[in-house]
Parts: sequence; structure tokens; C-alpha cells
Amino acid sequence: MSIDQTTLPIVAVDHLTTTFATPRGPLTAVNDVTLTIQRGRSLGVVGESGSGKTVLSRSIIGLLPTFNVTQTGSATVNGHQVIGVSNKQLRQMWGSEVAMVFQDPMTALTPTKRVGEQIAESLRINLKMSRKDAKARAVELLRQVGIPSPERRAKAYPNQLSGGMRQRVMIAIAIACGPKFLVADEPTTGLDVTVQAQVLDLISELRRESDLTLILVTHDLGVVATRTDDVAVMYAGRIVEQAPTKELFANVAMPYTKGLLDSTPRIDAPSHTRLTSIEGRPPDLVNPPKGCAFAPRCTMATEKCHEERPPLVASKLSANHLFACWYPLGGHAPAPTPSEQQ
Amino acid sequence: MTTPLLSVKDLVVTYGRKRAAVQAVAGISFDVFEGETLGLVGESGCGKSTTGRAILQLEAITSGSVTFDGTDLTKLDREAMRQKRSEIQMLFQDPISSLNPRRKISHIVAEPLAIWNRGDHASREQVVNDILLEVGIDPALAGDRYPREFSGGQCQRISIARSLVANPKLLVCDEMVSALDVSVQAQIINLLTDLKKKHNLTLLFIAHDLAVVKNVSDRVAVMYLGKMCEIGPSDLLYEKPLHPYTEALLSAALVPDPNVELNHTVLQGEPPSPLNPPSGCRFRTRCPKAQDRCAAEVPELRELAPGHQVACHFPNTTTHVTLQTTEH
Repeated sequence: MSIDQTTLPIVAVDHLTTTFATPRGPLTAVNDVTLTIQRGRSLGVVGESGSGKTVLSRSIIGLLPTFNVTQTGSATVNGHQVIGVSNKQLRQMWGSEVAMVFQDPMTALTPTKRVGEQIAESLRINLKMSRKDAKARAVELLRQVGIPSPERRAKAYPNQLSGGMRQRVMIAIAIACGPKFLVADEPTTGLDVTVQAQVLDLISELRRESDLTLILVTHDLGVVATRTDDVAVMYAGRIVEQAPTKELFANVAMPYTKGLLDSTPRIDAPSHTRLTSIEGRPPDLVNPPKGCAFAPRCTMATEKCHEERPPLVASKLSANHLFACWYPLGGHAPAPTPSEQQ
Repeated sequence: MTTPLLSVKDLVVTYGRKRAAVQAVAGISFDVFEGETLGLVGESGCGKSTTGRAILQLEAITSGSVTFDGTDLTKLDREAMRQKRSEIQMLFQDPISSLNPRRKISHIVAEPLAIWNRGDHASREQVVNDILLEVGIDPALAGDRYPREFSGGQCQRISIARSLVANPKLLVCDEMVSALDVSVQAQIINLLTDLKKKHNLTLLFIAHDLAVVKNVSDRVAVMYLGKMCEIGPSDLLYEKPLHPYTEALLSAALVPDPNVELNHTVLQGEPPSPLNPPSGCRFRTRCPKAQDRCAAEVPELRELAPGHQVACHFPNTTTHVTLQTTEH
């Protein structure tokens, strides 16, 4: 079904804005986001609750309710437009080209259906497999995601499995129809550290085996640092910094990103290390501030920050490092535009 | 650090009966000294929360003792225990649901004073206002509002104010920062550290996040499937873990730094069911070092270095420099 476009980015988002109608007025959850993801890369989307990271990832694959939602801009996956198309068209894409792993595997799985049947369901609908073949393939998939005695587990109901097992089942459903693009929304939040490591290892392994492109939505900077190629930091619905993971952690440009890093306790820091917290809390997205959304909490903010919103620009240090700040850290500065260069 | 403020001895808590009986806490002992913070870590189902609740006698204790400030709490009758509770307070994970949604903030924070009959109306109001200011909530703006009007971080501040208003000696914090965003989590951790110093508090800090526990604790205790694995000073325990389980936990924890080498999963599978725990050492089914002795004999908690105890037949001796002198 998909056209061979190996050189084109698998995901292209252009000036995407997602607004929800609320009783208090329109709430812009994703605000003018532009990004591309190259085939086979993994993009980590980080931010705090309400930063728009989940809405962005769901917008990209068309997985938002149609009621009370307004979307402008465009998003394409594998060349297919996602914004403003019918659910019927989207359904052809879901499962076979793009799949999602949700945060809470208990509520995302159907509680009254055996997990084997839930995997077989998508195989039968998308790949038109026979009941018998789908059942056999479901067991095979359970084995692939590292579930011991898969024949027996296929007959289990979700409540009979542990959290880690359920997340493995979710991943099995997601990869069942061989998608090339996977969106994982907080796949390991709520899991124990040792199980988290197992699930993240599994996702990395699947990516290597089948050249998957991945969006990993998380609030955990440790997960981003160790498991992604690129990072986008979101704040109040916008991307405020974006760079290859190693570059971002090596030289942070946005005071918000630095604030996040400084407020994260680390196991390699001595006990009782005083954390630098970010005072205040994120802005109300129904009435966002006029200038930079982070300015009210930023220790370096000036009048300009409160008045004018900084655009997302490339750094002169690296064309891949984007930031939205009037006073970037670490020697970053906007790259001169072509007209200025002459 | 002489006599401990809190001393837990051979604590056993059992849920259910007969064949369905689960020992959620299977005989653990530890001390918490005055003025210190003891971190209690472990994965879900290891019994850390049950331990916290058992200390406040919120769970029926099967056997063992909990000595607080010289009194064995397990021997107290209902009324005597009720009186003691003003000295031990608990903080919970979900700050919003642990506040009564139909009471105003000033009422919620003043309630302990009303229960203990401390002071008259005017002096109570003063105490409540002072404590709210201390936790960073403006009493003039917040006093007449309801919990739903506050964010998670603010509700946790209000919970802290409520727990401190009756002047407790010991705070049991059960996953109190787990539901918060990192920037707010840092605010609450810093606030707790400051208040601890100011009010001369002793803390039992229960959490699953290894980095948070290391940050707030003087000493750390690691639990697995109802048993104590290891207790030691924070920095030492994280740097030179003696128990293979502690080592596995630490290697699975992620550091926000892409240059730190990823330690690929050392621990396979998940903890066995506490309904039918393994014989001997409970960790042996997942332990890379397990031998016949581990199945036959339950390892006792023993001190291998000053203040550093471990319950393992084959502790990680290579990492511990001082070990050669203490063990023969």
C-alpha cells in the first residue's frame, strides 16, 4: 500500500496546531509544531504533564476524538495525510503502517477477552488471516516479545498477567501487522525499574530487527538519554528545544531544559545533593502568556521575554540543534540567515 | 545515634488466611535513629508500604514488635495507640485524594489540633497560618478554598502542613513525590529537607525511585518479596552494593546522560508470587549467583562493614574493600 519513499522522512509535521474546546474557552494543547523524523530514527518527546507531548503524538497518527477538536496544519505518515481525513482512511493506516503502545496496559487491553484473541483480532482484520493462522501467529508474537510459555499465556485474560507482561502483550499487538512506525506513550511509566529495563530492551531489539521508526513520549529524562537518537523538549504546547540526544545533553540551550535536568535527582550524585527546582508551575493553556511561555518561571527572563515570543531557530553551533529562547545558554546563538551571511 | 527512635523487630504481616495467606512482610528488623532519614526501597509488592502502615498499626501485625520512643506499639490498646498517633504522621502518594474534598484548606490543616484539643480557636488559627506559610501556601488566599482548586504539588504541601501541625516526631512518607512532575518533585524534596531540619523530624521515606531515595536518605534499606536484603549508609550502599539484588536494581536505574554506558538487563523475569515464595533466600530464583545453599538456608541479616548489613550467603565481596578485615 505504501509507496517506496525510502529517502523521504517517514513522519513530516508542518505547523500543526491542535485545539480543544473547553467550557473555559479554546485550549491549544499543541501549538504550531513542525518536525520531521527520518526512517529508522527514534525521537524522544519529553515534557511535564500538560506540555502537549501526548496530544502531539496522538495528533500525528490521527488518534484524537473528532468532537470538540480543531486541527490546523498538516501531518503526514509515510506520505499519507493524517489531518482532516476520515476515520475510514485512517483505519487503513492504523496497525499496518503505524501502531501505538499506550501507557496503561490494564485499561488499553480489553478485560473480557483473552490476550491471544486480542492479538489475533488485528491480524484477521488487517492481514485477512484465517482464525487458525491468526491464533498461531499470536502465539509466535507472544514468544517474540519474551513471554514465557506463550501457548498458555495466549489463553490468559489481562488481569491474570503482571504489569510488565501486559505491556509486552501491548507491544505484541502493536507489532502484529508489521508497522514501520511505532508511537510509544510512556510505555514504562508505572513499571518497576528492572521490568522497565526489560521492556525498553525489547523495544530497542524490535527496532533493530525490523528498522522501526519510533516516537517515545516520556517524562523521564533517563529514558530519553539512553534510548533515543533525537529529543524534542515540549513546554506549554510548543517544542522549545530539539537536537540529537547526545548534542542536547552535552550542551543545553534552553533554560527550561536545564531546569528539568537540574531538578532530576540522579543516582550518580552524592546523597543530599540540593536539587535546583523550577519555581511556579506551567501556564494555563487557555490564557497563555504573551511572550515566552516559560518566562514567568525563568530566572533569566527580561522584559523582552515577557513581551515577545522567541521563535524556534537553529543554533550557530549546530544546524541540528534548535531552540526557542532569547538568551540561550552554553554559547548557543541563532545561526545567521542566508541573507546575513552574504 | 544511641537508642533508636523507632525499632522494628521481626515484623511479620500476613494478609488472608490458611492456604491463601500471603506474608507481605516476612520478618524484618530495622532501626530508625532520631534525626535521620531512612529510605526504604524495593519494587511493587515487596512489602515496603505494608511496613510503613504496620508501623502506625494501620495493618494487623501477625508477630514482631514496633518500638517507638521506648513504647511497644503492638502492645497498646486502641485508646493508648490513638494518643500515640499524634507523634507519628503519615504522608501518602496521592495528595489530592488524601485531603477531604468537602473541607476548606484551613479546616483540613486545623483538624489535628481540634482532635487533640490543643489551644483555643484563635491560637489554632495562628498555628495553622504559620505552618501554611512555612510550606509555601498563602493562608490568606488559600484558607477558604477547597482541595480541588489546587495542583498536585500544592496539595502535597497542604498535606505536609497537616502532618506537621500537631508536632510529630516521626514522619512516614509513602511514595509522597512519585506522582509529581520533576520540577515540582524537586520543590517538595527541598521543602521536606528544610522542614526536617527545622522541626527536628525523623523520616521513614518509602519510595520506588532509587535516585529520589538516595537524595533524601542518610541510610537506605532494600526490600525484596517481604524480606530485608540490605541496609547501609546511602552513598556506600549505592557505590558498593553488597546484595546481588541491590546491584541489579541499581544497574537498571537510568541516568539522564547519554554517555553513561547502558547496563543491559541483568535481571530476567519478575518477582515470584508471595503466595508461594522460594525456599531459603527469596531472591535465589532470579539471582545470578545462586547455589544449593541459597535454597536450603535463609540468609540472616549480618553486618559486614560498619553500619552496612546484608542478608546474602554470597555477598558482593569484590566491591567492598573493608570486607577482608571483617569476614574470615
